[in-house]
Amino acid sequence: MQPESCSTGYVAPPILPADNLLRRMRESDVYADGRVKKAAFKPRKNGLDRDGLSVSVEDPQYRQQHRATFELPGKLTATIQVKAVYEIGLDVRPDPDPSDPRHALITGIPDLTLGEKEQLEAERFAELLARHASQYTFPEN
Amino acid sequence: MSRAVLDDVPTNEPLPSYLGTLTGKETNSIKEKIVLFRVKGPLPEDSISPDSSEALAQFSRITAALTDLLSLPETDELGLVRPARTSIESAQLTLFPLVQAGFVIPTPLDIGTDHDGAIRIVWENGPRSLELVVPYESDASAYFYHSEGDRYDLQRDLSMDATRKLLNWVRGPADPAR
Repeated sequence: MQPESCSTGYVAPPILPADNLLRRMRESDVYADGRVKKAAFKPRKNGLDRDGLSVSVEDPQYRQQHRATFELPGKLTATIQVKAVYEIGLDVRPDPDPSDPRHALITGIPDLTLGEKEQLEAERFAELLARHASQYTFPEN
Repeated sequence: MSRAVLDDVPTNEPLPSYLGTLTGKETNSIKEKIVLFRVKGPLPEDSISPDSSEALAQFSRITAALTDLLSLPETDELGLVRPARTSIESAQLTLFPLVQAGFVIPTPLDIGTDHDGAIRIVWENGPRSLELVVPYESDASAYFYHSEGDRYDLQRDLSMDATRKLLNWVRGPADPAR
């Protein structure tokens, strides 16, 4: 994956297969046995996820920043390895912004508002992403 | 539900709360409610149970879980949280004909909402997964999503027979021919 720059001139490091992606989810997006639900990875209908599912690349350098964004009341963090996203058939693209230089997008999920086939595929990708994801806990330091 | 079972329902028995929100109409008895929701035509023979109490009890539990969703906040930073009341009614109306037939709905793994406020009732049995999805918008149709291994599909047919088949599928033993 090629580095990508944001408006400030910052160049995001490349995203590696071994990197972990972090995604915000609700406490209710986890089953009682701890597995992550599809809901955590299903694109929104309103088009907000049309460009891709919003994630952050785990990076010790930005841990405090991510902790402040992810560790909120009623919310949890899901994590999935980039390699698993590739294996499912999706891609990960850097999408750095000033508030999160390690922001990225999981891309390749069809726009579920286009039709029945796209909706089915979006459901399937959400299922596969959830199956490979787990709940993430930020390290103490 | 067979005629014999229907006739056994006491006319003056108080209505359980799970039937209270189904129609918005006042009725006096379980029997009237059952007649209101009676499906047209004969019921499949294998769905008729001599005792529907377990079917009703299971439906009551599902309805209670659905109703609990109304106490959720309307939205959060990730989207809609609380489902629409019409979505809850739609979910109930999808499942209630089975209850009338004495069919005991399998215990769901989970009843919740996604980030669009759609209700998702999930059943799982080993590799089999079945999900009834009822969108927030009243003009959007509900559907089932089901998967097993590499096979997956979406089904819009919510008729009693189609729903019963899917629930029997998720409850049943693995069928390699499917």
